Amino acid sequence: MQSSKLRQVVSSGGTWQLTFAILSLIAGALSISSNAITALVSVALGIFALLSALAARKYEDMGSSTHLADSLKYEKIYFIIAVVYYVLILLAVAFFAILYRDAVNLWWASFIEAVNR
Amino acid sequence: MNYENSPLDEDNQQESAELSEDILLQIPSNAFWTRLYAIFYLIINLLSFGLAFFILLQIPFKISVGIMIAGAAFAALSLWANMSLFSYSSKLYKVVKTADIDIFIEAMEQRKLYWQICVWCFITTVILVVIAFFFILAFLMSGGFAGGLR
Repeated sequence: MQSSKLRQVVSSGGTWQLTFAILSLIAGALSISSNAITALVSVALGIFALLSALAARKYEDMGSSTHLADSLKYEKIYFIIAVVYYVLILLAVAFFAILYRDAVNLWWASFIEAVNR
Repeated sequence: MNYENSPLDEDNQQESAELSEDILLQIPSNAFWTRLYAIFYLIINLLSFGLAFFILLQIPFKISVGIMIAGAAFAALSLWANMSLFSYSSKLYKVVKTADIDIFIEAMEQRKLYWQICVWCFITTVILVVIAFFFILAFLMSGGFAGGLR
């Protein structure tokens, strides 16, 4: 009972993950000319989401725990890539905020003014 | 009555085999990276919403209504995805301690919910980009930023 429930949940989760992976790959392919880094990250995320989803779906077909372990492993790599990407974004934001400190102060003052208005 | 070799017992043995060594080996590191990702995702979300709010304050209310609605939907979905990630990682940490298959099933349900929301977030983003494009274009064509495009 629990076993079949687990298989069902993992498999339907895999279907949603597969959908997201395909969308992510399409987005990556479409944005390759405008923003190469984001496109590259999007494709990498899409590939690992795809691998994880396929392993999850194999788990339902074959019932081997190795497939579920593989699915979790690929999902972990997906999260690692996403964390590295987010850290780079935050570092870039901090770098530009320090570099253009005067402009940031000006924007902040106008923001406070707009909120108070 | 001897239950040792009953079908029920075999089923239970099969169930406990589901959380076999290879799965249990993956769970601790998965829980760690999922939690870390959830934290960074929350930081990025809050920064993005702050920036979006700042930009929306700069443009007239009528023009920004469409963007606001789609943006609010996106923000709600993003925060929901964030919560499901935190829940997913918490349940994985619980599985590390207990190796309980029921908690693992709950974790997998949260995982499914996360990917489900991701798909909806993606669709909302596309809608948001399309609305933003047309509204900003309309704003510029109607003389926004001192009639730049007119």
